[in-house]
Amino acid sequence: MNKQRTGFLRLRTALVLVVVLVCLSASVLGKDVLLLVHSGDAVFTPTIKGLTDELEEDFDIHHFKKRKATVAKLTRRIARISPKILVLMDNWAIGLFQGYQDGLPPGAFIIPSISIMSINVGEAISGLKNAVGISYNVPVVTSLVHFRSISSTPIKNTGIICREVLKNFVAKNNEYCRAEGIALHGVLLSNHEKDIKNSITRGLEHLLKTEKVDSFWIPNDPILLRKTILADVWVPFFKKHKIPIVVGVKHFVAPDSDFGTFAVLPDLVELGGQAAELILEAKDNKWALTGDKTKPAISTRKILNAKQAGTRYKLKKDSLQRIDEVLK
Amino acid sequence: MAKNTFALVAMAIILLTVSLRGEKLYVFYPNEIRPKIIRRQLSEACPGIEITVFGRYKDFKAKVIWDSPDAIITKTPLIKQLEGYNIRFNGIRDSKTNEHYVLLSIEKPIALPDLSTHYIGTVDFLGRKEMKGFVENILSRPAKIKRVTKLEDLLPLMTFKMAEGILITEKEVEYFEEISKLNFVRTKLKNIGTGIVALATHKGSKARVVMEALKKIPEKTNMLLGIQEWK
Repeated sequence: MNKQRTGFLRLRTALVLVVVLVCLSASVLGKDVLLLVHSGDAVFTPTIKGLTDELEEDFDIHHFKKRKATVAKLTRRIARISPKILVLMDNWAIGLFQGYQDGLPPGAFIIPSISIMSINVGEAISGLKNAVGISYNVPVVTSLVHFRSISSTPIKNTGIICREVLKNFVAKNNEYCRAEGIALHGVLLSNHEKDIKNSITRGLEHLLKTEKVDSFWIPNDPILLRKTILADVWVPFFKKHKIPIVVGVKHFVAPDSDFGTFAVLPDLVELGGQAAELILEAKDNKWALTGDKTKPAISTRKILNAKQAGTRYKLKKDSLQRIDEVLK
Repeated sequence: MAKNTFALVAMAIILLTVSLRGEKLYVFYPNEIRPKIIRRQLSEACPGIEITVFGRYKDFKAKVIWDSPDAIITKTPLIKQLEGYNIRFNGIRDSKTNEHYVLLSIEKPIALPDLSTHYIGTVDFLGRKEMKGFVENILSRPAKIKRVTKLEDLLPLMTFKMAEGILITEKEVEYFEEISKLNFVRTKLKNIGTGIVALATHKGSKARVVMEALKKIPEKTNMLLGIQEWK
């Protein structure tokens, strides 16, 4: 009798396990597969959260991480899980997927991909088919409109010094800024400027004295913003000429740096949300990605150097309520 | 005997902790004001209440379900989505509890019959499927929507032509007219209006402290929630 009872209990447990497994499989089977390709670094966590928050109900989300990643491994993974779409985070992920696409036979179906958090995403994905990317650079017009919304100091003429590599980016932003009543005045430097310090100095003097700009927007260019150039050119110039500077990197608005006035950065969680919306649109469009190949980042975080208030700009009343971080 | 004593002491500690715990109020009202500012001003106006202010619908909903706070303040249509909460007070602006929506676009009004082929931007406060339903109800027709979390994120949707227009309340129009020099055009909509914001209490909680505090919130703090007073 005891043996029979034990046997019955074992059978019942096994049946319950089978039912649970079937239910779990069913809930996963109904979902499209999304493959996230990233390095696993903590910097991607907020964006992955923004993405998964929006998509986990409708997508079975898989991760492919950098450690010992190869095109062959990616190809095998894709063959195994058949993702409907990929999200490529960072330039190496784009390069890996390019390698995968290059290895496809002619006429093969091209899985769509969305690239985020990469440098010069437009250029990086130019070889990918059925692909879009969200730029990591916040558009100039977005940054300037946000600064203008908190400052009672007029922002009508903004100076930009940048290398030729950003020429098209600046030209495109010029149109948007003009619609907002802001004129961009640019000084273009060669991509491989020999005497960069003097070129920047001459550019700054020209923009201030000839073009009479009332503000500056500084691009995230590691060449122009090298430590020595920052210390020898940028900081001394703006110490002398108290003009607001809008930047795209937080540490440039640290009060101790005595440099940037206002930083506008992509909101990393909402960047994931924006990518999620593109994925849902692609799904509605039978997995075809449409529109411009490079989309601007929509949502931003705003950081203010409050130490410069009163000297480089005047704050509008209650405007601090709209700032994410105020550094004093 | 020792076991019983231990159990009694443990029970007493738990009851004491529960009775000393302040009432919990969770707030979600997406606008251009940062959540930490709303939390700070509400906390000053409502001492003794544990106040959390959320910036995202998903985070708010998840925590409300998980924690069942004594009371919540949020947009009225969202309260109806959450189980176990009853509206006790409605926010009032210009003597009204309801607000109307408009479509805002650049240069020219939106032709409503064209909506099926264009995107409309909207702040998400109901989740993807419910937000689509809400928008379609307001517009009285099917619509494609692009959702954002923050009010200010609707402007780039129009600037970069990612949406034909945005669906916002009449009050929110003044925000966009303040920050942008674009030539905005309103398309009025025939809609009966929806509740602006409301306070609801959990069915298992009287939330007495919250209810009392609400009546004393100064107008300048209520303005952060888009209203002048509560009724």
